[in-house]
Amino acid sequence: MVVGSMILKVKVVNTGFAKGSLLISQQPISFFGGVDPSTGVIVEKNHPLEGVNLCRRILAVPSSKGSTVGSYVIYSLAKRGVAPSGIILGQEDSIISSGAILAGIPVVIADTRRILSSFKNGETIILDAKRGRILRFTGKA
Amino acid sequence: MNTRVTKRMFKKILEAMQPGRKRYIKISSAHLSGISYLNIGDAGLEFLEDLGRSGLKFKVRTTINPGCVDYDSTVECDPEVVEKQRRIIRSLKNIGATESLTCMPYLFDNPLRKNQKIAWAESSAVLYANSIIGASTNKEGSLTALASAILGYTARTGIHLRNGKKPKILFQYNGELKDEVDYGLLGYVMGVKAGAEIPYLRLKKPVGNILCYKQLLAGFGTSGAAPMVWIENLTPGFSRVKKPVRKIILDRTELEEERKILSEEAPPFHSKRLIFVTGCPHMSPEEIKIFHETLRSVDRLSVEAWIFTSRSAYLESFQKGLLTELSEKGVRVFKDSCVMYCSLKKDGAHVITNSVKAAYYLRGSFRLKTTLKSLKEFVEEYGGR
Repeated sequence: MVVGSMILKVKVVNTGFAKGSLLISQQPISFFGGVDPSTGVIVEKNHPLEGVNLCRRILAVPSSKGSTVGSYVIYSLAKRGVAPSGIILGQEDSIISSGAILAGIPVVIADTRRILSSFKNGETIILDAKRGRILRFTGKA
Repeated sequence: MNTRVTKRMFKKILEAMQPGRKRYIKISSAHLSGISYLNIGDAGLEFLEDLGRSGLKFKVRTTINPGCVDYDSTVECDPEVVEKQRRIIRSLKNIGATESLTCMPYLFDNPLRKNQKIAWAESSAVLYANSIIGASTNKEGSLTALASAILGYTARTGIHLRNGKKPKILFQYNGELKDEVDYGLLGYVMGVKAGAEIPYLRLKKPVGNILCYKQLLAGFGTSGAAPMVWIENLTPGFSRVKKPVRKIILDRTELEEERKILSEEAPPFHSKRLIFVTGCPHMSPEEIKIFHETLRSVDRLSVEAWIFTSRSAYLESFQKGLLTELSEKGVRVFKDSCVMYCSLKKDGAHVITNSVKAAYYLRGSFRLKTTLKSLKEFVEEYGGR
């Protein structure tokens, strides 16, 4: 069984459960044009995370930007097994939410500042979007 | 895709529109955006093909936006794009869509009544449906409209709420509006200032025909987030609606500032390929007739002119005998597709257009240079005798 210390209560958009390494993007992401749909690598020029792969990460992002077609790109990433395994949004965002719903990726909404102050980029966390909480992973019991 | 799971997924998409609440409203018509292969790419194609195979069907009359190819003249198009666009349309037809391929479905393919509750994507059509016909739709996204078309209902938010159509801000424009481009610019400026709030528009000297208001609403839909504009003396029920207290007075200078951003001097026609494109939103037979009349004294244009319209409007205009003469004068008429046309992307031509919306997207997505000119200005300048 996976154990963790309870850290944050969050609002659930799409239910599910994911464990993975946290990737914090302080800038919005444009999935259409900004992410390679076959690999999951961020390709937007001059984006702070340019070159970083979203594959199986838990992505914390303030919101999306750009084309509404971004939803389809999230679906496509999931079909190829290179999508993020969970998404923490800073605010409601219908492009990411509907894409993640198509793709079956858990999504929650949390205060971006609290994510930044509670977790480190790259640490393993548990996104429990069944009960609406994020936990710090502390090992297996 | 499993039918039950897919339906549940679409329900969730409507839930995500209204977090914490689950209120819905039945709709009787849907219109989908996100049809062009250039726009949705392989990811969208893949999803729509999966959905087409799931066996689900649209519950209400559903029309679709234009693609990026006219199947009667595909010579300049990349064969891969042509084939993939065909697959997208085939999938949607399998689910039950009418092959309207237009952004003006309200005219022939998906006619509306006043007060009809609908779920439409495509901002210019949303604005037209609410502001000119008096129907009710939010500015749906590609996926929320798709979800509503499958389920037969949409989230009861925004315009569907009691007082959801109430205008919050009054715009008064005192200046002159000389042509459809001015109207488009005014719409664009209003959209920037209104954001998500529904405005009420009062014009001191309204002279425009329906072409002008179509441009105004398309401009507004490009920059703003609100689903409708109350237009004095035009929108059904305008006299009964309570006028907002907050008032913004607009004048010519604001329009000219926006023009500078979207329009630059066109190079001489012998130095670069110039194309005049019109029909964003799609031209109605009435508008095609206006263009036809403007061209009456012209034998042949000195630059290419492309007009975009729907299949249904094409047929009607053809039967009225408008198209043969246009083509003799060098005008190409496209259907099933829009100004974001596949071959335009790679040509790098300089585009002249009377549409503020077209200028905005051709600059932004296709990285082309654009010049704004009305139909009349264009014919005066390039209509050599």
